[in-house]
Amino acid sequence: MQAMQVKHLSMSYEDGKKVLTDINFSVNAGELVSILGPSGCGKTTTLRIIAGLQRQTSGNVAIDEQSIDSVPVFKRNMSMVFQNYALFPHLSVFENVAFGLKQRGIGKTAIRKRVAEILSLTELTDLANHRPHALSGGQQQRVSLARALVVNPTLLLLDEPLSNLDRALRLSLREEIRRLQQKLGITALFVTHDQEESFAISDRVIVMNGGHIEQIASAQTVYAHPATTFVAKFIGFENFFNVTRQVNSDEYLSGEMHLYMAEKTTKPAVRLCIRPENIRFDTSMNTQQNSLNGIICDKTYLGRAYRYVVATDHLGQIKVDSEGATHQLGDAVRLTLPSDKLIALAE
Amino acid sequence: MRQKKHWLLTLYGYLMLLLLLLPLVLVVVTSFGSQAAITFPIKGFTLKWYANILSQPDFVTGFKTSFAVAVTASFLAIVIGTPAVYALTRRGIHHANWFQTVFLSPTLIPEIVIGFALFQSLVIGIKLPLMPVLITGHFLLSVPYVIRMLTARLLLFDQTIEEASWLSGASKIKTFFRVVIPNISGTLLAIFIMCFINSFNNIPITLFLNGPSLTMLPTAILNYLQNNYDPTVSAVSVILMLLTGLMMWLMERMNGLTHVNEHLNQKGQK
Ligand SMILES: Nc1ncnc2c1ncn2[C@@H]1O[C@H](COP(=O)(O)OP(=O)(O)OP(=O)(O)O)[C@@H](O)[C@H]1O
Ligand SMILES: [Mg+2]
Repeated sequence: MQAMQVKHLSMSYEDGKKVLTDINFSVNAGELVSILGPSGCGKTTTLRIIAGLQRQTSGNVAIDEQSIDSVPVFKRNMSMVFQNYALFPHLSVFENVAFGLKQRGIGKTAIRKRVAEILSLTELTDLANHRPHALSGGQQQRVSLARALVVNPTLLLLDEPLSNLDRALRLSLREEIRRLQQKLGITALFVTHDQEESFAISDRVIVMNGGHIEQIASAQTVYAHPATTFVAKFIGFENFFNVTRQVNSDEYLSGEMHLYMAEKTTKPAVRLCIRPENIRFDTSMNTQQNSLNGIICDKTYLGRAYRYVVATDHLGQIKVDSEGATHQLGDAVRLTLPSDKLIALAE
Repeated sequence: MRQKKHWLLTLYGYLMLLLLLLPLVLVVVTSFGSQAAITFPIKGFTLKWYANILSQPDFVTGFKTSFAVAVTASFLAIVIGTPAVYALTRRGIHHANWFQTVFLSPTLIPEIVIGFALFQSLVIGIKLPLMPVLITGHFLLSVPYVIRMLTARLLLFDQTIEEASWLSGASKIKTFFRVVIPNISGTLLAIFIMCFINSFNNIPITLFLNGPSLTMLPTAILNYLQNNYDPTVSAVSVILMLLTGLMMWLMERMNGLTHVNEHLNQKGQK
């Protein structure tokens, strides 16, 4: 069931700059969908329009097929977790969490019971009487999460909730958000610019770029089959070869070089791409499919692997990640681009 | 060389301080002199001039009226100014700069002109009683303080906190009273004290708008001085200085507290 739909959403600010163009997507009940995209692509704007904090130029937002464009922000029953926590400084942790329930006119005893439940779920019980400023960043964000969950929102919106925290905390809080979201069956929309975070936490990923959507798919699909050149670049593909001519449904010509694909492509491709870690150095010099010669022209240590830049005779510079340190600058090498790792891009 | 410059600067600083404080010190000292005229150095020591204040009905009623006017005007300035500043510092107001200039304009016009204008138009013109006009004048005097101090504070106040409140189900008005006001109450109190001191000590506007039926403390002092030159005036001045000092101290504490809070908030948001 589609809990929330966004239809033909467009947005321009007063200066006339168009920041969202025809955004369409939906979030199913109980699903966590993330919006992934680089800074300035319109993630926050999309979220704020859904929350009712900002007004779109055209298009609409619907909950259970009902347009909510005329519903003011304080009646939308949505919750938001902000990047900067946005806790009420004058209220204790308990009062922060209870705030939304109070606004809904719930009785004191019911409030106390419900807040206690959520505080124990988020492991904040011991901090109930603290003021926000006496808490660490991670604790503050947990309070913010508790405040968002306690009202049982129709839709939980999270705008880069983890980006102010250090890496270890980011990982653990990410797990916690996912755990609570699934346990409570909350429908959620999670904004981030971090690919790993987005893949780890969500059922589906929406990749945005420059105010429009590039791809909507599961994390696995986005990872293995990026739909566009932008998505491919954003998720770690670094070698792109323009298609000069399609020879067959599984064979392409890039310049002089024939490249064979393991799978037949359905749509005509403009470009093929491959990740640096999927390219192999060949020890034998015999010719096989997708092999070519080159000379090492750069070598950097990345920690998990060495990054070699190889100047090839047919495909220009190719980036290769390999755990071996065997090759030196100036060495002649032979590369193979495995046919099952090559991806065809239609745009 | 640096040492010497430092030494000169220090001397300069102390000289300025002395220049500022010397008259005040003289006032304090002369208020204890037992001679019937203000002289320096003093002969003898007495507290009778302090006692004499209470026997001067003008001083007593003047104090009461000045106090009432200052409290009323400051209160009105805050009650009317706060929503205005709130609207101005939040998005969606067109020509916000223009409004800002209008609200600050009383600081650009000499106070004596404001006093005269109010007297001409409201007292002579439409025959309003003195009291409401006086309060209007002091209100006008206070509004710019509210605007300036509160604008700074509200610009510092993180708007996402208000948004969080709206999303939690509180309407914009509820959010203003339950979230914004509690967080700026320290600043509001400091502003109130600032306005109060300013209004209580004001002469230019007050001068035009008092009369036989309405005595204000600063004008009562001026009147008294025309007929007497005894240390009672010094004694009144000392009391006023103490009162002002006490309030400044209170305000510092308030501001200090709000700064601490602000600092902690921002630390939390990093
Ligand atoms: N109030 C505004 N007036 C004009 N332009 C704005 C305003 N707010 C945002 N923008 C522009 O809209 C675009 C999208 O902004 P948005 O904040 O939605 O991006 P984002 O994807 O959330 O970026 P980030 O990852 O940096 O938070 C940006 O180019 C930004 O400059
Ligand atoms: Mg953003």
